[in-house]
Amino acid sequence: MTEENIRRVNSSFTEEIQVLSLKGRITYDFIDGYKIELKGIIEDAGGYIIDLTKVEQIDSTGLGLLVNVAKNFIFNKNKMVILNKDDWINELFNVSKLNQVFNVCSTMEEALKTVTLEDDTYWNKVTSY
Amino acid sequence: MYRLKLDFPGKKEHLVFFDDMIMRFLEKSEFEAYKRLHFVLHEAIINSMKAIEINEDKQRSENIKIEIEVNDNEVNAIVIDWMTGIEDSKENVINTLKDNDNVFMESGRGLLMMEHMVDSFTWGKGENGEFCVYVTVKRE
Repeated sequence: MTEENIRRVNSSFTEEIQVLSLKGRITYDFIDGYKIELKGIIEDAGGYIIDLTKVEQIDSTGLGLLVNVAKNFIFNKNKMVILNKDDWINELFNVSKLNQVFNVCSTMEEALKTVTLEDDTYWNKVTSY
Repeated sequence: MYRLKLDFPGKKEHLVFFDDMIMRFLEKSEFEAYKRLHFVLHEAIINSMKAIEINEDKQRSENIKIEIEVNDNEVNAIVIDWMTGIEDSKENVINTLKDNDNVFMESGRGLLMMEHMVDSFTWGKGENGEFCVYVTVKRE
């Protein structure tokens, strides 16, 4: 199997929430593949969880990809939560200040709870930046 | 002292090789902040690769050269390419990015992160017109 044929984004649904699981390197050399896969895989849903638990490396182009995905969701009034357990990726969110707009959760349970919040906690964080 | 020198074609498909070599070297040299330096060097390399990708002057070398030296007090690294580089000074570029700092900005995030992660980060032209990115990290 060639590198081009390896799927990097998997989709699953938990009730009405679409979970987009990214894996491998979200880096400059593979970014076009992620863009194409994400474009074709996102469905109408009640909210989205971007699961980064299988990501090995991310760079500024990968962070840019997450920003663009988030912008599209916010524009369409959709909620998005990031699931991440990796300290280094969290540090990159802090350095790039993306932690100020991304809702980052460390467990799937917490992510599901956050993305289905009925109150304004989520949007306060996103729109107050 | 540990020293690594790489001189390799700056093609996108070689990024994994660059990353792997640099990471293995930094881990072997027992440098504490290896993840930060690896990130910064990766960013410098992809900036060079982006420049090479749009280069139309086939007289220019399309290699990227990397030198890393680890001693007891600090780590010094240089990433070199033979493209035109960034014409403006680092201070002007960084200050402009900081003025327009917004998490939703399309580009420039990498340079701001590089600036934040190391003790010294600058760029300039070398003796033979090559474009050099200089990075220094002090050891704990």
